[in-house]
Parts: sequence; C-alpha cells; structure tokens
Amino acid sequence: MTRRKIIAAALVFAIFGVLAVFPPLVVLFRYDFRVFGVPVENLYIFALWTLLVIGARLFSQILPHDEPTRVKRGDDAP
Amino acid sequence: MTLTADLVIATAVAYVGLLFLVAYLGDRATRDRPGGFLRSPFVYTLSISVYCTSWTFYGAVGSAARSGLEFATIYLGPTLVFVGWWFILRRLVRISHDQRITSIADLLSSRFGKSSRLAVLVTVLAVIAIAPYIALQLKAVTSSIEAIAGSSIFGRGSLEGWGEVGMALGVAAGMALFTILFGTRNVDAKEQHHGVVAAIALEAIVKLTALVAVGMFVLYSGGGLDAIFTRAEEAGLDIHASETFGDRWVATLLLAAAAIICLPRQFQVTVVENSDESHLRTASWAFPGYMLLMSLFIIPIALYGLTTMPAGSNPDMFTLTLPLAAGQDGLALFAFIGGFSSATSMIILESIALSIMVSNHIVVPVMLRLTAGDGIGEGQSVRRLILNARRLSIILILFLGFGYFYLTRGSDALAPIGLISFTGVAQFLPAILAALFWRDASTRAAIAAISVGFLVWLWSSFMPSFASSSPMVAQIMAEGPFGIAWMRPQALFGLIGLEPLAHAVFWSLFLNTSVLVVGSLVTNQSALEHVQAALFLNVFSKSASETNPLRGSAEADDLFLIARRVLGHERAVTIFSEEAKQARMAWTSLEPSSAFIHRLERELAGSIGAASAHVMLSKVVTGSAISLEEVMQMADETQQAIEYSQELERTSSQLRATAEKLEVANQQLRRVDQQKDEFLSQVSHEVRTPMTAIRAFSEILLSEDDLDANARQRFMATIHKESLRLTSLLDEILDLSALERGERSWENRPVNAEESVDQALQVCDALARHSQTVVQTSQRAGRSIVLADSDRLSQVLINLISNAIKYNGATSPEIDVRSRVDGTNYIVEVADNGVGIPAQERDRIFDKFYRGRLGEAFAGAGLGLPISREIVTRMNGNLELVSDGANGACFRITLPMLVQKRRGRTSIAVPGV
Repeated sequence: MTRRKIIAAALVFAIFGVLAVFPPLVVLFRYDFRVFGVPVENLYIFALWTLLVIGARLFSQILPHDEPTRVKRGDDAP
Repeated sequence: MTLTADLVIATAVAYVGLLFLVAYLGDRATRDRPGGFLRSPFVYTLSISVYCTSWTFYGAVGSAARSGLEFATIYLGPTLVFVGWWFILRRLVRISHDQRITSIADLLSSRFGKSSRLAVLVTVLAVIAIAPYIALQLKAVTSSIEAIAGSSIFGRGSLEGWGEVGMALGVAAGMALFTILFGTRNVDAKEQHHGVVAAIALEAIVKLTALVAVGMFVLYSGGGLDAIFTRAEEAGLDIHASETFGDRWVATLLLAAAAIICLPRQFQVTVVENSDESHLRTASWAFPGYMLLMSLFIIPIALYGLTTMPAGSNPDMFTLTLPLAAGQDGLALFAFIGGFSSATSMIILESIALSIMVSNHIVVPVMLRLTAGDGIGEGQSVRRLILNARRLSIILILFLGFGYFYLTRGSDALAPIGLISFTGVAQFLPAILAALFWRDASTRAAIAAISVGFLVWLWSSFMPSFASSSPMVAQIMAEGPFGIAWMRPQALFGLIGLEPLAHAVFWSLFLNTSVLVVGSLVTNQSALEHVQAALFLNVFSKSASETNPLRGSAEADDLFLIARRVLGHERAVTIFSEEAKQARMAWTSLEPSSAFIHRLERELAGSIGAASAHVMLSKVVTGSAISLEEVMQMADETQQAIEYSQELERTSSQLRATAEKLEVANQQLRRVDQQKDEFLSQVSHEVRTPMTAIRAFSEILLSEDDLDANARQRFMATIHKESLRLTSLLDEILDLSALERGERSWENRPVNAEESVDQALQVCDALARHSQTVVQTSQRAGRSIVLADSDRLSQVLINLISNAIKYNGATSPEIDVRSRVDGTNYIVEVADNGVGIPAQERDRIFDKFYRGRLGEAFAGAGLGLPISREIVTRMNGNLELVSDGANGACFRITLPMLVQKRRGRTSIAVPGV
C-alpha cells in the first residue's frame, strides 16, 4: 500500500471506531440476550474496544515513520 | 492483619515517601543517562494513564452501579482520539515541539498571535474548571479513609474528632505540600519533569494492579461472570443497557474525547512531557489497552457490590468495601493504595500543569509590565520568582478544589462532579481544532468563543452543582433568574427534554463554535496571527521551522542577560557557546543571527510561555516582531522603490532628449563636414586652375628656346597675373577662415560711415569708367556715426560696387549707391540695373565659392560676398539682398547708429534692445 492509502485507511479505521460507538450502530446490539452469561451490549463494547486496540497496534506499525530523527527538547539538557 | 485508620494513613505517607524516592531517582537517572528506561514509550504511555484518576478507580464502579455501561464512554472517547492519533495528537505534539509549547494556554496563545489576553483567559478558566475535578479527588480520598475507619473495630483511632471536612482539608494540605516538593524544585527550560513522570508511571502500575486484583477477587467470590450477571438479574437490576445509548451517551463520549486533549494535565503528559514523537505510536494502542484493562472488571464489581452489599452502601466505594466486607484486609489496603495512587497522580500533575500556566501567563506578564524598563527586575531572580509563583498557585488550586468540595459536600456521586470539569475544559476544543486546522480563525473570535462557551458552562453546568447547598441556586434552577423561564440553567432558551449534562454540552459547545466561526469570518487577523497560523498549519512542511516571526538585531549581552535570568547561568552559557562555536566567532563578539534569536525565543518560551518570551525578547531585539512600524517601513521601502523607478524614468527621458539633441548636433556636424569637404575640393579646384596655367606657360618658356620676345612677354604676363590671382585667392581664404574663427583682431571704433562710402566710390571710379558704367548717388544720409572698422567697411562696399559693375550685363549699365538713416539704423544700398540674380540662386549667393551662372565667366573665387557678410556681422550689422530678380540686384547694409548719451557715454543702439 502506498503512503497515502495507509493514511487513508487509518482515517477510515478511526472514523469506523467513532461510528461504531455512537447511535445508531451501537443500538443495534441492544437486545436482551446474553453470550457466555454476559449481556450482548457489554460484549459488543468490549469486543469493539479490543478490536480498536489491535487495529491501533497494526496502524502504529505501518503508518509512515517520518518523525524527526532527533527531538531536541528531549536530549540536550537534563 | 488488622486494618485501622492509623495504619492506612501511615501506609499512605510511606507510599508518598516511596513515590518521592522514585521521583528523585528518576531525575538522577535521566540526568546521568538520557534516553534510558524512563524515556521509553511504555513509561510515556503509563504517564498518560494519569487520565484514570480516583474517578475511574472508585467513581467508575459507582457510575456503572447507577447507569450501567455509560461509564465506558469516559474511556472510549480517549480511545478513539488515540486510535486517530495520526490526525490530531501527532500534529499537536509536532507543533508543540517546534514552538516549545508548555501548556494548553500557551498553545492557544501561540497560535492566536501570541495573545497574552487569550493565555490569561484560558489559564483562569482552566483553574476554575478544574476545581470540581480536584474536589472529586479530595472527596474520593476522604471517603476511602472514612470507609476503612468506619469498618474498623478499633474505631477512628487518631482520626477521632476529625470530620469529613477537616479530613478533606488535611488531605488537601498534604497534597499541596507533596506537589510543591515534587513539582517545583526547579524550573526546567522545557517544563519536563522526568522524576514526576517516573512516579506517575509507578502509580499507573499500582492502580491498574490494584483494580485488576479487586476484579479477580470479585470474579472468584462471585463465581464467575455468568453467575454475577444472573444474580444481578435475579435481584431485579437492569443488566441490559436499556436506556444507556441516549443523548447522555453521546454527550459523555464527546466530552471524554475533548478532555483527553484539553485537560491541562493530559496536555502536559501527552504533549509537553513527550520526548520522542515515536512514543505516540506506542501510546496509540497501549493507552487504549490500559483503559480497556481498567474497565474490564468495573461492571462485575458494581453488580457484585449491588447484590452483596447492604442497601444504602455507597457504590463509589465498592472497590474498597467489597474486600473489607470479605475480611480481605490486605487486598483492601492494596485497593486503598490504588485509589490513593490515582488521586495523588492526578492532583500532582494537574496542579503542576496549572501552576505552569498561572506563572507563565499571569505572574510573568505582570512582572514584565511592572518592570517596564528592561523587562527584568534588577537583582531579582526570575527563576526564584517563577518557582514561588508556582508554589502559590498550587496552594491556590488545591484551596479552590477544597472550596468546591466544601460547598457541594451534600452530593455523594463522584462521576457527575468530574463531568462538570470535563464540560468546562471542553470549551477549549473548538479553538484548539481551529488552531490545528483552520488558517482564518482569529484571536478576537477565539477569545469571544471561549468566553461565551464558558459563561454557558458556568450557568448551566457549574452553578447547578451548588443547588443542594444553596437555596438561591435551587430557586434559579426551578424558576430561572428573576422568574425568566427561558434562562433556567437546565432549560436554556426553552430547550427541555434533554438530559442536563447533554443540555449543557450542547448549548456551550454549539454557541462556542458558532461564535468562533462567525467571529473569524467577520474579523481580520494581525500580521503575527497570520504568521503563527501558517506555522501551525504548515508544521509538517520542511521549511515551516525556518520561518522567524521575531526579526531584527540585538546585542549579545542583552540576550545573554535575559537567557541567564530565565534559563539559569549554565543553560545560557551552553546555548551561547554552541552558537559561538557554530558561528566560529569569539564569545564576546557574537552577533546574534535572527535564527539564533528565534531559537532563544523558543528556549525562553519553554520556561515562561510563548507570549511572555515574545514580550521579553521584543524589549531588547530592535525591530521587534512584524509590528505595524515594520509593515509601514516595508510600505516606505516600496514607495521609495516606486520613486526611484520614476526618477529612472525621468532620467531616461532626459537621456532620450539628449540623444535627440546629439542626433541633431551630429547631423549638423555631418553637414559641416560635408561643407568642409566641398570647401577643400573647391579650394583645390580654385588653386589648381591658376597653377595649371602657370605650369603650362613656364614649361613652354623653359622648353621653347626660339620664342620671340613678344610671346615670351605675353606668357610671363600671364604667369604673373595667375600668381596674383592665386595669392589673392589664398589671402581671401585665410581672411575668411580667420574671420569665421574669430582669430583676427578686430576693433570697432566710432566712424563716419559716409566717409567709407566716399572712399569706396573713389576706388571703383576707375573700374566704372573702364566698363562705361554710370555710378550715381541718388541719396546720402549725411554724417552718420557707427561703430565699425572703416577700412573693412570700405572693403565691403568696394566688393559690392565692383560686383555690380562686373556682373551688370546691361547695355547701359548704371549703379546707384544711396544711404539713409532709418530710426537708429544707418542703411546703405548698392543697386544696379543689370540682369539681377535669379530666384533659385538667391539663397546661395552668400555661400563660399558660389559664383552664380554669370560668375563662371569672370575671375574671382566666389569668396567676396561671404567675406563681406562676415565683416558686416562683426560690426553688429546685416548684409542682405533686397531686390527681386526683375530690376537688377540691390544689396543692403544695415548698421546700428551710435547714440550720444547725455552723460557723454556712448553705446550702440541695438534694434530690439
């Protein structure tokens, strides 16, 4: 993937996260049902959360590494 | 193990001691070995988790007990911000590194034209908005100590006689002391506190471990998730989020996302304490992961507490009271330390961040204004002043927190208090986003927007929290101020039906954003705002950091003085030595470049904020910033350039005129040159004719020996005649040339012109008789005195008369010489009755060597008339041909007469003068 596509994918992923936690998407999972004894909306929120963490880890590795090689404020004084 | 209040307090003090040790070691380790473990991305991530305060540790369980899943929004909002780190946080960190931003107030002030007013506004509002948050921590710590003391069989121990308020005051005082010891030991040029960060990281581990430990204990005691949920459902609790995903869900998500950016302490740890931009990369997933772990057990703990604890128990304290109730004193103590950790880390960092803002944006500017001269008080260390200002502001901030706690002590839930603070600081979000992404946002609009948002917040969120302790507030909430219903704090403009938090969030952020957008559209930016906006927006382009808004020159000594006072001697010497080394110059003769001044400004900004640093340097840097004066000067320079170009244009048109004149002169020269060539050719021709005759006759005389005496005599006469003609020709040429060049000495004397006429008539008498020409004088002027050379005047007249005789051609030639006085002029005319001069020749008869069609047959070089005219001109007179061709020719000489002045002086009467 090109640099631009990776950044676009990261943006889409973040926007997906936003949409997923806001109504109306989140309301889709609101019904009286339990999976492994856990209410389904709880499971949805925590599963989504886990997915977001995993996705963020993936993007943290593939997003372009263009930080300044040396940040001055960090290493020129105690 | 027996848990008593005294043991808990002793443990807390010991824990604080441990933290202090960690902070001390952390500072030393970073100093000895920069880039060690303390600079790792994980320590950075752990320090960001200062976001999870006792609100999380205690309040989240309480929130989950009251409204289920809603507590998760407080962590989902920040999760989303960190997942999208590339788009907002990365930009914030890069800008802050480039501009040496030290706080959220500094960020906004820096973007909006280094406005001190905006910085002061943000600082004051942040201090007010954070007060409830501090109160929340005090309340949590106090409640946790109370919970342990209340359950202890040994009673309250040494806490006997201390009420809730007294204990809170004690906690506040202890925290103030602790924070001052921690955070204000020195002023770091970059506002980084590595020791503190190390301690915060340790606390992050402690609170996570404690909460997970309690969670595991609950899972174990409750028999697993399924059992806990089933029992809760059986107890009649709503385990499904029936009413969770409403307006309040949206509002808290939004607030939490805003808070992770806008909270002063979060800005401090995420942006200011960041030593490497790549750490953000790790934090982008590790921090959401941390919050996920913190949240995993919240709902089970809440439900287990609700089903097992006696009715009326405070759900906020379940984390602590569940182990206590089960007799797990060790776990309870660990839980207490966990909660204590989360409270202390928040209070330490929040008050450090706020104290930096207060000292940089309020105390330092006031000091600069008071010491108007050089901007630095003599003999007074800026550093000491800053440190004292920070210590005072820490005390003030904790006192405000305590004040809020005291006034609202009637309410019991923790989470709603925190949300009030969140709504307050969220008012910075529109301005921050505008700073990052909108070039045209203006300072005035930002100030107005934040003010409006804050007023709405004060009215609809902050004030209602006093309803339980103030009947007046309760009345305003019920009926509106003075009975104005549409101003009721929780039903502004008649908007009812929204949950109070969502209501406050909607109105404050809606009005805030509207004012910012509309205000920016109708106001203009200053030059500095413009520059800063460009710097913020172009932060990722290479050349951005090269731009330097503060330009001009300054004395190295002045700069050093300021640097030493603010940064300390050692740091100032380092900076100046580096610059001297780079410039390859002696320390003393250093001439600060504008790049160096820019760097120094950023260094100073790291200590005292962008606005103050700018003001301070502006006082010694001549030329200041892009001031009005500078803009005017630029305009002047432009004007000068225009004037210069106009002058060039004038000069070039002058040059054009000169060139034209030169062209004319050149043409004249060419003409004169041509005349000269013609003249030479004429002269050669004139000379050649007699010379040829002389040569031919002399050759005959030399070669022919048998010539008779008669012929010989005739040849000799011809040679003689031609020699005379040649001599006369050369004399005339020399004469004319001398006259023309003004070389001949000439003296005009008063003479009687009539005498010259008589003399000429006498000379020509013989010639006239010889050619049988009648010379008459029809009119004589009588004695007429003119300024002239009488011999020369005679020469002219002789020339005219002899010409008239020689070129007459009439059968009975007649010549009339007449003179008269006309006004102040003496006029003499020589007229003949000959064939006259044809019209086409009249213009040329005064040219040299011109002899006309008749003259060809006669001797003469054609120089008589030019010489005559030259002579008359030298006598200030005029010689002209006046007759037409029909009645012969008539030449007229006009000479000015000498007028006798009464005083006996003489002068020439020049016509027209």
